[in-house]
Amino acid sequence: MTQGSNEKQGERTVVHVDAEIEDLIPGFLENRRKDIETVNKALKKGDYEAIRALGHTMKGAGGGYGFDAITDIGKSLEDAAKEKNTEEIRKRVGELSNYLERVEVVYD
Amino acid sequence: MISPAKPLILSIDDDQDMLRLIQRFLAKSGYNVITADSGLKGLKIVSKAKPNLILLDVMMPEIDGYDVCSRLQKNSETAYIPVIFVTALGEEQDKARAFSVGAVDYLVKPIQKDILIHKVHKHLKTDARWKKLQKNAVAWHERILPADFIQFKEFLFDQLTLNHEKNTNSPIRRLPKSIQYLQL
Repeated sequence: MTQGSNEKQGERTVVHVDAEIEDLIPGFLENRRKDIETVNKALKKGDYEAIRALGHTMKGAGGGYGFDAITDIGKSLEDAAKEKNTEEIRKRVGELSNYLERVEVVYD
Repeated sequence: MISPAKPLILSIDDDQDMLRLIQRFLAKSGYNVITADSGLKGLKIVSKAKPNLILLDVMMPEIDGYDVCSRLQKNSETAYIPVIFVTALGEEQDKARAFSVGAVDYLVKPIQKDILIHKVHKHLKTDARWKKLQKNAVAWHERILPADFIQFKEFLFDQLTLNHEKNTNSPIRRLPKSIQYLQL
């Protein structure tokens, strides 16, 4: 995507982001952490439509901020929710959680 | 602070992260930006603020982007505002539907800053040219007075009479002009 490029360095995933949006990044990543809680709650209620909508939103926003992996996870979540595939949704939520722990942002 | 010299862009999207990102990119490129996090709020803002261009998400609760665009098209005051759809739906039928409800263009999320700026700039320029053409057309229309039309009819009649007489060698009978018009 335009702003960022991803590269794995050992356990860290380094993402290069446009310095123009530096102040927006902490809020964006915090919202993705909240998404994890939202999906887990929706799973308990069997609310697949909420998960689909959230996946769709993540898919749309992630790459714009430079986080292509978040767009990919969002798309997978959206597809899994359409199929009501609980196992796949849990897997993708775990992937998102892992990514958010590993990601390191560099502003260029 | 909104500067009157800069074009005003309205961004409508139910995702606050998208609104913040679009607002930042456009503001840094010299545009005034206002945002709405739902289609209904967007419609209210349009009627008051009269933006120069609208960036519109498709999938939103209450009313979706297609519905918003259709409503804008039905109102003569908002029908000419260029609308660019900004959506994660990238299928051909989604694009076709956007154009069918009146969109001028389509941007697929995740957005890329350069493409966003390019499209906004392009459509504002096209809109400005279109408005100039409309203004010129009105000016020309205003310059044609009823008296001009009568003179033009008389000129046309004289030309036809001359041609007729030249070709047939027989003069048109000198009748009152009103009747002569009827004969022609």
